[in-house]
Amino acid sequence: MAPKAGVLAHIENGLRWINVALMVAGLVVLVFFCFAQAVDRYTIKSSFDAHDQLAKVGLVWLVFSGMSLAYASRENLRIDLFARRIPPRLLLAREAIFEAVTLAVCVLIHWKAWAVLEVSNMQQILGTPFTNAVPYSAILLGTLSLAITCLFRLVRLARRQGGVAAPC
Amino acid sequence: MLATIVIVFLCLLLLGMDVGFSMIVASVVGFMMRANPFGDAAMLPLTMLTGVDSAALLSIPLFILSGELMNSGGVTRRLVEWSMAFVGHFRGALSQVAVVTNLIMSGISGSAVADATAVGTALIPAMQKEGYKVGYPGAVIAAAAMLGPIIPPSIPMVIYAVIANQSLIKIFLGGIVPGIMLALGYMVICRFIAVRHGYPSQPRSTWTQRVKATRIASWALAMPIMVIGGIRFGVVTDTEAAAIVAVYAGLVGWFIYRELTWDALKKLFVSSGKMSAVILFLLAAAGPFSWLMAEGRIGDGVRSLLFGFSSDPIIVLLLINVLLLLVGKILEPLPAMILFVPTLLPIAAELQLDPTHFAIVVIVTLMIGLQTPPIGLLLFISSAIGKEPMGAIIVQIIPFVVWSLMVLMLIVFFPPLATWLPNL
Repeated sequence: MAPKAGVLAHIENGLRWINVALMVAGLVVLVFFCFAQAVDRYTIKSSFDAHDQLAKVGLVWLVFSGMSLAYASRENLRIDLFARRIPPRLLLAREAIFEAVTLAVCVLIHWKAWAVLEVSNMQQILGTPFTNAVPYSAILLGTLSLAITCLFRLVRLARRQGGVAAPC
Repeated sequence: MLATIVIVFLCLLLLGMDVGFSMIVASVVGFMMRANPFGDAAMLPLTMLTGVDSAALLSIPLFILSGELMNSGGVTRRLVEWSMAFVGHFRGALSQVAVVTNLIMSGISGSAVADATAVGTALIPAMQKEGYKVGYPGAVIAAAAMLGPIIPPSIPMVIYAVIANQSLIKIFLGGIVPGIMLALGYMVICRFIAVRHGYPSQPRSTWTQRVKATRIASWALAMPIMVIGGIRFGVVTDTEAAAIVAVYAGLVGWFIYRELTWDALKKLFVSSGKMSAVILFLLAAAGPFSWLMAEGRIGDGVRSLLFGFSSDPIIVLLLINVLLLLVGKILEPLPAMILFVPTLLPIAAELQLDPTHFAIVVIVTLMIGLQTPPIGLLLFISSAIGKEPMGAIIVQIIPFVVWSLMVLMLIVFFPPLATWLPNL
């Protein structure tokens, strides 16, 4: 049995908030450590020298959380030359194929990313207490979140195809 | 295998799939054609992660954030007022103001999209109210916003420097003269068109009014000097400069102009984060694609193709221009750069072209794609902001595109235009 539209919306909303929180946290970390690096060099002059390493952790989380957020709100980059020229049914079929392909690719990346994470868990980020697993786990959440978005879109497309109105 | 990957990528792209995922799907197809498909597929997440896990890319979200902070904090409005005080008496005042404001803003934000949105929102409705021909306001904004990626700081320049492993400050400085040439040419075009159509000018500001406008806008005008001066004289790195400008733009908007609110701050952090992620995800997606391209030695193929025509540096550079202009017709500048620059760099080195000269030629060529249909992102943005038909904007932007191409040719034939300032 297909899940109710309300349940999908709730899960999507929750996912959106998680991604917003992680993306903004990534951006704040990035701004803070890049700014702190200059301040530290000229004023505090501490021995800490891993500002950019920590800023990069923020950057990786920003990219993968932000991308799944942008994809969910359809703000991702695409070049649509045919949207106004092809019939609606064909357009729906195209969307369904793209979502299915994106879903499959996300599942593949997610699956393969676990192996990368295992190795990166043994690689220390110099000057910090973290391993590379901290930034690299962003790809796991990002692809999972994208896969869920694609799956829900496919459910909605199937409902629309079957004549059931689905909320956007 | 390489041909299949490229064909799959182009088909998916033109059919309307997400640009980044088109690259990833094409890469998956490439991995499936290898001897150990599922084993090699581990390179997929690894190359995606290493594609963005780079300290040189830290400045991109910071420059985008600075642009958003400027727009919400009232900095952009002060720059429009300052430009009005200085060029408002020219014929077609608002179009001239649009070019000058973009020239200054491009020295701060580094993003053509942020510049087009900020200046277009303020000036397109005003130009429409003054009776400018349909499509012309959008064309002026789209043309002027192209200065963003040419005048430093520039996001495409950061990406180019990362891909080419080149000095960012040299590329930054190399963009200044071509950027100013573009801006001056656009202003001349605006004047000609204004005289032809009788677009109005504003009363000439007195020097007292100009000094006052400069005093008010000085907080904003100081930003480009901070960025370029700070990096050029080695006071800060490019990443630190970007962070300082972002914090500075926030402080000016909050404490000096008092237009920044908590609500606006929350919204702009989310929008800057998303915009940065969309741009940087292209680099992540290009990771496996570039890996397969390098494995397949695509560079050798392109090299023999180009050298099949001629081995004269200028002819090859012109061929590269034609190639990139055609690529710019179907591809956004950033993915085009990510895909083609690694292939073209060894060719430029073999021809002993100056790296900064080559960088500026590539960047200007690809950025012209922002102004031209069918992909021209700036055309879409201007059309959306001004609610003007795309066809009308395309017709009106032709003189600006012609000037952009002329500047490109000047840079190709007179390398010092791009290399003089960096070599000082």
